[in-house]
Amino acid sequence: MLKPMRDWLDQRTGYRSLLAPWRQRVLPHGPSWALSSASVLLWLLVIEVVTGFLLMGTYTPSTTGAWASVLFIEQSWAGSFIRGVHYFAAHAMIVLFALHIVRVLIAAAFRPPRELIWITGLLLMPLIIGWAMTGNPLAASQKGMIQIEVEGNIMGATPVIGSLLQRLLIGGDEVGQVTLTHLYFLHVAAIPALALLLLVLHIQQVQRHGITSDPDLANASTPSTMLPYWPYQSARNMIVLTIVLGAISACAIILKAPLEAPADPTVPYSPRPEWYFRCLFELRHYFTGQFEFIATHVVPAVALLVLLALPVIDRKLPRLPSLLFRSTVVVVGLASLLGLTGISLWRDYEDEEHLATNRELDVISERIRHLATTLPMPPEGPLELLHHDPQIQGPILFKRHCVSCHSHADDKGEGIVAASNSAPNLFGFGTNKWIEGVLDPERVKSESYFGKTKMAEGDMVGAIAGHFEGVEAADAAKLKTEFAQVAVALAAEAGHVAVAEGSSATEDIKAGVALMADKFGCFDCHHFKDKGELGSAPDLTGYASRDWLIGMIRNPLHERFYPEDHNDRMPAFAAEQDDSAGNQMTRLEVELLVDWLRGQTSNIEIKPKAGTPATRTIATHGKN
Amino acid sequence: MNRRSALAFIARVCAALCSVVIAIPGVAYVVDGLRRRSSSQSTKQRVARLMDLPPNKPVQVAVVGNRKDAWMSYPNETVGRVWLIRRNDDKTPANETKVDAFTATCPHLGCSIQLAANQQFVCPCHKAVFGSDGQQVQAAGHKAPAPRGMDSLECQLVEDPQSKQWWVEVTFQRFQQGSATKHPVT
Ligand code: FES
Repeated sequence: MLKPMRDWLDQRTGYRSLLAPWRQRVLPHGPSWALSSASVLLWLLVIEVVTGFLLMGTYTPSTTGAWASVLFIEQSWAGSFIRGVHYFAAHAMIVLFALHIVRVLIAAAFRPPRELIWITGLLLMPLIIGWAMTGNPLAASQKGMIQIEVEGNIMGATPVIGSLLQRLLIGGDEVGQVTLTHLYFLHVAAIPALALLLLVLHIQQVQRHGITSDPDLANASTPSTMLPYWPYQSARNMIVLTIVLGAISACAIILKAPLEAPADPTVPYSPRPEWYFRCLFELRHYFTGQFEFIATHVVPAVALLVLLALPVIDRKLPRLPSLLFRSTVVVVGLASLLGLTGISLWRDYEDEEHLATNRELDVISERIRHLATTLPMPPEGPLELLHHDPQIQGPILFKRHCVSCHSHADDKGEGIVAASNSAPNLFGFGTNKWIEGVLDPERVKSESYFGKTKMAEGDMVGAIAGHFEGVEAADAAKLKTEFAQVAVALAAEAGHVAVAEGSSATEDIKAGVALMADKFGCFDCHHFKDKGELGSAPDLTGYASRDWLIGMIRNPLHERFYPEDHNDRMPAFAAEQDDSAGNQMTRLEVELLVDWLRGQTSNIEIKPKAGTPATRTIATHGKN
Repeated sequence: MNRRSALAFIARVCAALCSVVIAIPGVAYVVDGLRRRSSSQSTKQRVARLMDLPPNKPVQVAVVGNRKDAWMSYPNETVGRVWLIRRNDDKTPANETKVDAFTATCPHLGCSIQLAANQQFVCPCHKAVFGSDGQQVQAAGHKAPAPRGMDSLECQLVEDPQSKQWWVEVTFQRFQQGSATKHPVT
């Protein structure tokens, strides 16, 4: 069917005679599967170029737009697939390239007159790694940007030409505005041009000198060695390519190319290099301090030089030692690469802290992707979303400012746990469940509440104990029920209990307030609306509400909270007006922390306890 | 089928398979990108107070809206410009006053229509001239370039319940250029 068309084309272009030398070429040892590596590499390069061109149609190399444009690509199934293929094919190329070098080494295909094939091929290897290196940070993600910064610094440590190399990589003296554009330039223009040059030379040399001739087989001529390239070798090439591309496509669909949170110095992350740099990364464990350059510079340079010099070394050696030498290079090379990589991966696998920050980054990445797909993307870029989200910033701020004393952990102890608890656990702070704990003579003395503070000896703990002193079991149960009503009344102040007209919560609130006023005498110490006075105990008006918490964190010494020696060790995080430099936290940070502390409570399931009136539906509150 | 042609067949099938795996998503991705359009969502909007409009003199006002441009959103950007013409003098009660609204985008190729000294509208790009009723005017010795008159927009007067002032409310839309009838860009 296609034949007439091809004939037509051939008569006009003569493409068959152009291709003939390639198609009819006879391989010295006949077709083989191992020989596919070169062809598959070439086709993968073509796939990289095609998918890369497609991505260029959308991608924007700017600090505010890069991440968002990549997410935009990811939002269409086809874009996600194309980007996935681009990403995984790059990895596949590096693996195949290594295999290709091993095959050539074993076949001693660098012997005269093939030195140029060997040299151009070897030089392509660092170029391809540089290609991948400049591609990784283009999404401006946390991982990519930190990686390129570290890689730039390593290059910067090179003697003499260091700072030049660094500037060449990141487009200036530090990672900044122009870095992405510069990396993009390297990735889509400079490196491809160089690679094309080497590749043309490489292929021209291959064509000129034919593919490898193993000296041992040079004279053997079985019928199979007389088979032409097409279709005997081509079929093998294409089958291998199909399998490789199938695997790449599967990765692109199932694993998907990663897109971590956009780069932001406040997001926790412990950087690790890509897998192909793992061995050097591991080497740095053995060469530390002033010897670090051995791992980062000497070893890779020496390895490359030894390989480049192979044609010369090999010529000096007789046949058997040459075989031994080459086998040694392959075995030692592969063993150290794989060994070091394995050890490094194992270290990370064992490193709980590293795994934890990785998990945190995963959570943040998923969250920011969710935000970016549901909210309008501001012109300032995705960091604007990230910096205004309580769910992302809350834990970060809590860990920065609060965790030295407070935990934020649920019943199972999961969440953020203080190294040494010396203040109440703030998980669910202000909900009736949390408040019930304060009103319980045992729990209020525990570590989760006032146990480790000076309030353990204070009036509140004493007052609660007083109410339960010498009370019979049956009456104690009744007391608990009443305190549960108090808890509901206070949780309503925090805005955690829905107050609807006629709901049973409203009655509990009324009862709770009455109990506080009369039976329990809370307002002897606490201020509440028009009752009691400020100064001796925290204000119960709007207790644990957003406003209350913001005030408390900004300045706990205010008369609404714990003035003078009522306060234990809680610092004032923003006692000064607005955002003065004297404050430890900005207004926005306090608000985000509070929204997270309170918002989180909406996700807590408050289990109804049989018989207690505190079984309410809790209004979902806070931003999610 | 001998071994040679079987291998040739396999090689071709594999090559076709690989091409298709890239080509189909590739085309879909490009088409997808073209289909996702930017949207300037601006619903009905108050653009001017009636008392600020002089009778029978065209006045240009800006329409502000949320402009979504591919992956970015720009809040409160000027998404379009509108010419308003108050048809009655200021003695006419507001509820009987008529105001016309035309989009300032030229129906020819989309340049921004300006006001000429003689109260006519002129598009600077290819010199289309429109009367104050929005219809294209045939200028002497010049072939009228626009395929239709200026595009009118839905426009009504509303009274602000608080300030008791009358406002001009316009529903802004974009229309396809170049055709003789107006079709909204959706
Ligand atoms: S665009 Fe207005 S006349 Fe051509």
